[in-house]
Amino acid sequence: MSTSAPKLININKLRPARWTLVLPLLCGLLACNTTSELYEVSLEGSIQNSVSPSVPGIVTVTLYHASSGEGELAHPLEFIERFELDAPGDFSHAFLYPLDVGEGLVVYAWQDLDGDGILCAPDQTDEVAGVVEVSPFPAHAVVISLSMDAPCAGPEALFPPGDDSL
Amino acid sequence: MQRVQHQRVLLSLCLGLGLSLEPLVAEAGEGDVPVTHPSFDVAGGGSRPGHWATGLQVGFPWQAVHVQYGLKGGWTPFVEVDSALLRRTQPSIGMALRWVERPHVRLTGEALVGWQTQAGILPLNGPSLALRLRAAWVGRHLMPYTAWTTRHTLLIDQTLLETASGTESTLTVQPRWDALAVVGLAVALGPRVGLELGLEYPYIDGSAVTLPGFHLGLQFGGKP
Repeated sequence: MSTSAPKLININKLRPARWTLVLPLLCGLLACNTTSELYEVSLEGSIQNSVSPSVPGIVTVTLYHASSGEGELAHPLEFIERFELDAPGDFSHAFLYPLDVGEGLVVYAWQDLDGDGILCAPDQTDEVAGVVEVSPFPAHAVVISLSMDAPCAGPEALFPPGDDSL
Repeated sequence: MQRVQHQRVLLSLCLGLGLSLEPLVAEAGEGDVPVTHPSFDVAGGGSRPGHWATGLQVGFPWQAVHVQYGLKGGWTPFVEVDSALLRRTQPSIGMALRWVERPHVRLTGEALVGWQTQAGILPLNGPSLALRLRAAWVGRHLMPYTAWTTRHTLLIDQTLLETASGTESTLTVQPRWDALAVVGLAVALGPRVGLELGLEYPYIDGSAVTLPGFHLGLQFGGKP
């Protein structure tokens, strides 16, 4: 069976006078289907390879909620988004932080030395990673300094700090 | 006559209800078929002026409550609440109009406006419009029928974007289409009460054919 993407009505293309009255009325009086809250964040700072500072290689940066879920479903490191830098150094990146998914912001980065897109391998154990938790947060402008010094470490191995259960 | 009475007693015993000793026909029509009966009116759609009918339906996955009252001109307003496993609930008000009313044939159109609500991790909340076509063959005690429903729901999602300069709100509308085909059989147990059995074939969200459902309904009503 073929499936198609859900049809979305772009309300921006409709006559605004009609929909600006009707939709807020329906949404406000009878409750919307869902309400998503996004928080605009400008992230900047520097990411350095403190083991081999001059070695080239793409840096993959991943943003996470520090914690998400409640009760028995509570867990760290809820994925937000991923982006890449050509090399270690200064950077800036803007993104939308979902307020209703979790709390806190964790930035994880690792450098791909052999260009295979994979953190370490049996013949490659020099790729390093690092993590930093942003504090205070939320804030619209965030400055971080991240040092990659942990070989072959995934985000779960580095955060929460001091958690050696994994 | 005595044989007919025995048949009624046997039918009522089989169904666990002692209601069929009364005459089955509320108002005799051509060919001795009932002009109006609560089960036939709920399943076939519409009521004669001044007649009311109520239907209670249990089954898997749908349950429903339906109340209607006949007006002059063939119009029948009704209130309906149906629910899938008590998780997705759709209260509606509607209007039915009998397009064809022959001694043995009924064809009724219904329009419903309401609200679809589903809580949990997959919320579905929004205004809905449904159109339904009912067709029935009316016998003296039995009425096989079919009903075809198309339901369209507007899911209005709100996104709040909090920037350094303030909060912006945008609304996105996503239509949802559900369809439901029902075939069933209404049984007149007495002039004011009856049962109805049905099989349901749903088409969910415009893309998924799910397992068929089934239901058993109790209808009662009359003329105040």
